[in-house]
Amino acid sequence: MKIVYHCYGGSHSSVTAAAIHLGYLAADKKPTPDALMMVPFFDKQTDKDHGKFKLMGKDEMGNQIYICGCRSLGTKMEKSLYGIARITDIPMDDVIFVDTLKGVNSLMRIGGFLSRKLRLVWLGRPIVLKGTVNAFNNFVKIVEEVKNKMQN
Amino acid sequence: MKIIYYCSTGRHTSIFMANLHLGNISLKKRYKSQDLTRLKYFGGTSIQEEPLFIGIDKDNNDIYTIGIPKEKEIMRKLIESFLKLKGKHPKDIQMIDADACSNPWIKLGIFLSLHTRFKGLARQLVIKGFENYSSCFLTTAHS
Repeated sequence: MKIVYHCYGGSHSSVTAAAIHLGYLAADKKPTPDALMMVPFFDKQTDKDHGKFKLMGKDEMGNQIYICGCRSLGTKMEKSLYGIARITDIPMDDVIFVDTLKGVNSLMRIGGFLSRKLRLVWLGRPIVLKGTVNAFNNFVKIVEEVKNKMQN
Repeated sequence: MKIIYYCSTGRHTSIFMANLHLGNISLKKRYKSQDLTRLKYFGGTSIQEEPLFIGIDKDNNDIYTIGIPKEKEIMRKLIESFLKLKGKHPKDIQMIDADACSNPWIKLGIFLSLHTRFKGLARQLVIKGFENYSSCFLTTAHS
C-alpha cells in the first residue's frame, strides 16, 4: 500500500502524521520541539517542493508512507488523481490519501505561514512547533483512523 | 498518448481547444456563437474535476479536458508525481493549458456562471470573449 498524508505545504501536519505512522514519534506522549525538528522534512519544504510526493519511509507492514504539500487543492486533488488513474488504467486500491489539514490549529497556520511563506523562520518556527505539540493528539487520531481502515 | 486540455472549469476554453485539436471546428479568424454552442459539453455551471473524454485524434491520441480552477501548476506537478509514484512515465499524459487564451470576457462569464444566477448573461459574455479573441486560439492551435 501507498499512504499519502497531504496538507497545504507538506511541512508540518502531514509530516507529523507520517512520523507518528512510522513510529518516528511515539503516539502515547506529546513530542518535544527538539524531537519534532529531528523528523525529516519538518519545517523544511519550500514552494518548489509543493505538488511532489515524497517518501518518508516504510511502516512495519511494508506500506510506503508519503507526504505531499498540495496547497489548497486537498480533496480536489484526490478526485482529479482518481480520474487520471481511471483513464490510464492505474489501479487505486493500493493508494490511500489522507488530508491532515483537519488536525491543524491556528498556531500551526500562523507559524507555518511565517516560517515557510514569509521565510521568517526565527519567528514562525517556535510558533509552529508550539502549535504542533498542542495539536499532536489530532494527528494521532488521524493516524489511528488510517490504521483501522487498513485493518478492515 | 493522452492529451489533456485544462482550463478553470474544464467546460470552456479546454473544450474549445480540444475540439480544435480534433478538427471538429475549423481554424478561422473569427468564431460565431453557433460555432461554440454546438460543441458537446461546452458551457455548464460546474467544474469538471475528472477528465472528460472528447475524442481520438488522427494520431490515435485520446483527447480529454479537465477543470483546474486554481493552483494549476501544482496540479500539473501532482499528476506528474502521481504517475511516477505508480510506475508510469510522466510523458504518458501531456497537459496543455487552454486558459492561455482566456480573456476578461471569458473570465467574467465563467465567474458569473459559477457563482451567480445570471447564467444567460454569463454565457453571452463567454461567447463574446471567444468571438473577440479568436486569433489567440488560432495561434495556439497552430503551435
